[in-house]
Amino acid sequence: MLQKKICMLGAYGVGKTSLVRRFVESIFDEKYHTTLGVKIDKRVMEIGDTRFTLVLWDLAGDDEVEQANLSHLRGASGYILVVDGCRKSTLDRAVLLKQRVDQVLGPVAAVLALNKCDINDQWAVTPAMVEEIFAHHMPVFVTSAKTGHAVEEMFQALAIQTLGETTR
Amino acid sequence: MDSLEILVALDLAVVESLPGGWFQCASVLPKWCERFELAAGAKLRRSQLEQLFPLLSSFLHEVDEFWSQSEPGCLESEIWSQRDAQQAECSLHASAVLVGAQRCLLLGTAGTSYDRQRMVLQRIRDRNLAYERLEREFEKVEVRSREAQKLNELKSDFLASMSHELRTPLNSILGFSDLLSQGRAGALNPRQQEFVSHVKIAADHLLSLINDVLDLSRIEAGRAELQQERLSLKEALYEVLAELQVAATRKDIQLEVALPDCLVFADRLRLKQIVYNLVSNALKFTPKKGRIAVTAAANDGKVCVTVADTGKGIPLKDQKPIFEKYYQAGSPTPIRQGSGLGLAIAKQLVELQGGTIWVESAPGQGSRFSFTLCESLPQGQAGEAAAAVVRPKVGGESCHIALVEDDPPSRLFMEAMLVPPHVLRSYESGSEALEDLPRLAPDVILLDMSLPDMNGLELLRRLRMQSVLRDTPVIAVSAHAMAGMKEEFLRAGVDAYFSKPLTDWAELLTTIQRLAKLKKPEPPPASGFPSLVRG
Repeated sequence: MLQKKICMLGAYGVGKTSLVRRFVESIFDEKYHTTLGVKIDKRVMEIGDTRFTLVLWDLAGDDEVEQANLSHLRGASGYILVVDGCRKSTLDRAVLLKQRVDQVLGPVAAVLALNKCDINDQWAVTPAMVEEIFAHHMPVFVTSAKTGHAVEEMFQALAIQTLGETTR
Repeated sequence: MDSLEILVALDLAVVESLPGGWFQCASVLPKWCERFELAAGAKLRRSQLEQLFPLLSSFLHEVDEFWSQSEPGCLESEIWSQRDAQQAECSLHASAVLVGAQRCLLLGTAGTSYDRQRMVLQRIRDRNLAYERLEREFEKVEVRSREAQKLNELKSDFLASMSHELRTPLNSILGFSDLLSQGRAGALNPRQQEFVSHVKIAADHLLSLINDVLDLSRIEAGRAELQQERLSLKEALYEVLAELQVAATRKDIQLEVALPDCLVFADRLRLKQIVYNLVSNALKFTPKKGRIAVTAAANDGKVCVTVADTGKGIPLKDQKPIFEKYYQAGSPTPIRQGSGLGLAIAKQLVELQGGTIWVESAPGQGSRFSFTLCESLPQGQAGEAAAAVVRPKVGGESCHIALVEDDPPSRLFMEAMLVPPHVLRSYESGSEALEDLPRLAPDVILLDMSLPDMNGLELLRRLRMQSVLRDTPVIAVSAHAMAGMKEEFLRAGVDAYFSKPLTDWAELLTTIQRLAKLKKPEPPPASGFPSLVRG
C-alpha cells in the first residue's frame, strides 16, 4: 500500500504527540508526556479511490533542530508545523524550523496547526499573527487536540497535498 | 552461556545484511517473531524491513556509510517508539555492527535507561513549561497593574481637578456668608440672618463632603501622610469635642466626656478626625434627649477610646459592612445622611496608626464604637505635653500684602478681610504682578497657584529672580488640595500653604504677620503703598 511519511515539528509542549493520538486513536490525555527520540505511528486513509498509509513521525520538540533530527526528515512527503497559541515563543520556533526544513526537504506539502484553541482565552498568538507569516506558504488550521477541533480536516488537507504531489 | 542465551538476556534480534539489498533474520527470538512478524532465517527486502521498522529508513542511510568505511565498531540509532503487531506501543533501538565481513543489525527493546532518560527530560520540560506559564501570568499581572496605576492616576487627576473647581466657588460662598453674617456689608434683619446661616450650613456640609471624598481617595492611594507624635489624648479630644458640643446641644443630646490623663502616639489631626467622625455619626442616629458618652481606658500599652450612644442600635448583619464606603445601616438606599464615608475614613485612619476599630450594638440598645491607639508615656506627664501646645495670637502690626488672584469673588473676599491696619494691593494676573511687585516690595505675597497666564510655580520662580523679592515671604493659597500639592509648593519655595476655601482666617493672619517679621529689611518702595489698590 502507498505510504506517505509525515513529520510533526514544533517546540516542545505544543501538542504534536497529542495531535497524532487524536488523529490515530481519537483520544486525548490531559497529562503531558514528553517525547524522547522519535515516535512513529500510522493511520490508513482513503481519499477518493486512493487508499494509503500516513506514517506519522512525531519528532521530539528539541530546542534546536539537531542534525539527527534533520536526518529524520529524509523521505518525508510533508510536515505539520505545530504552534501553541498560548506561547509566543513557539511561533518564533516555527519560523526557524520552517527555514531549516525547507533547506532539507525543499518544497513539500505542509500545514500549520495553531493548537490549543480550547483555551484560546489564554492565547498570546492570534490566527492573524500566524497567517501574516505563514499564509503564503501553507494552510493554517486552528486546532485542539483536546476537543478534536479541525484535527481530522488538517491531516486530510495535508494528505490531499501529498497525493497531489504524487500525481504531478 | 551460549550466544542464544546472550541474545535472550539482551532481548536482541540479529538481522544480517546481504548483497543486493536483502536482509536475513539470522537470529530471532520467538518473542520478536510474535511482536514484529519476523521469522528466523526469513529474507526481507530493505523496503520490507523499513516498513516493519520505519525508523530504519533514515538510520540505514547512515549505516550504509558506516559499513562502507569498513571500520570495526558499532553505530547506534536513536531510540524510537512504534506499535507492534498487536498495536502495543514499544520503544526500540538499533545498532549496526561490522564483524569481519559480516554486516549485522541488532534490534533491541529500550529498557529502563530509556525510561530514566525520558523521566529526566519530562521533569525538565514540566519545569520549563511551568516557568513559562508563570512568566505569562507575571506579564499579565504587570499589564493589569500598569492599567490600574494609570486609572488611579486618572482618578487622582480628576479628583484634583474637581477639588479645585469645587473649592474655588466654595471659598466665595463661605467667605461672603461670613462677611454678611458679621454685618460687614450692613446689618441684616433676622430673616436675612437666618437665610445666610442656611447658606453657610449648606456650604460647610458641601465642603465636608468634598473633604471626605478627597480624604478617602488619599488614604486609598496610600498618600495619606501621618505625623504621629506624643500627645495628650485629653487635650487633643477636648479641642474637637468642644466643637461637637454645640451640635449636641442643638439636637438636645447630652454629650458626656470622661477621659483619663494619658499620652498617646498618634497624628493629632487624624485622631481628631476619627473622634469627630464617630461622634458626628452618633449625633445623626441618636434621638432627642439621648446621650453620647466619650470615654477612654489605657491598658497594656494601648488606649481604647469608646464613643457610646443611646441611638436605635445596629443589627448584627450591618455591623461589619458599616465600615465600608457609602454604607448606612438599615438604609434601603445607599446614602441617607452625610457622605457615607465617615466610618470608612475612621477605620482607615485607625488602621493606618496601627490600631483597630469595632462596633458593639444591638437593635434598641444603642451602639458602642471603640478604637485603639498606642499609649506613649506613663500617666501624669500629659500636662507637660499639653502645656507645650502654644496657640498663636491673632492681630498685631500692619503689613504690606500683595495678593495675586484671578478669581474675582475670591479677590473681593480677601480685600474685604485684609482690612487696615493691613495694606493690600491685588493683581489679576501673573504678568501684572511681575511687572509691579519689584517696585512695590511688599512684606508678604499671597499667591493663587492657578493663574490664567502662568501657573503659580512659574510666577514664584520668576519673582525669586528679582533681587528685591528674593526673600519676600510667599503664601500659596490654592484650591489644589490633593495630597502632595502642599509639599510640592513648599519644595518650590513658598513659605506657607493654605487651601481654599479658607476656613481658618485667624491662622492666615497669624502666618502673614509671622512671615512679615521674618522678612529682611528692604529699602522703602519708590512709591507709597496705598491702603487698597487694585492692580
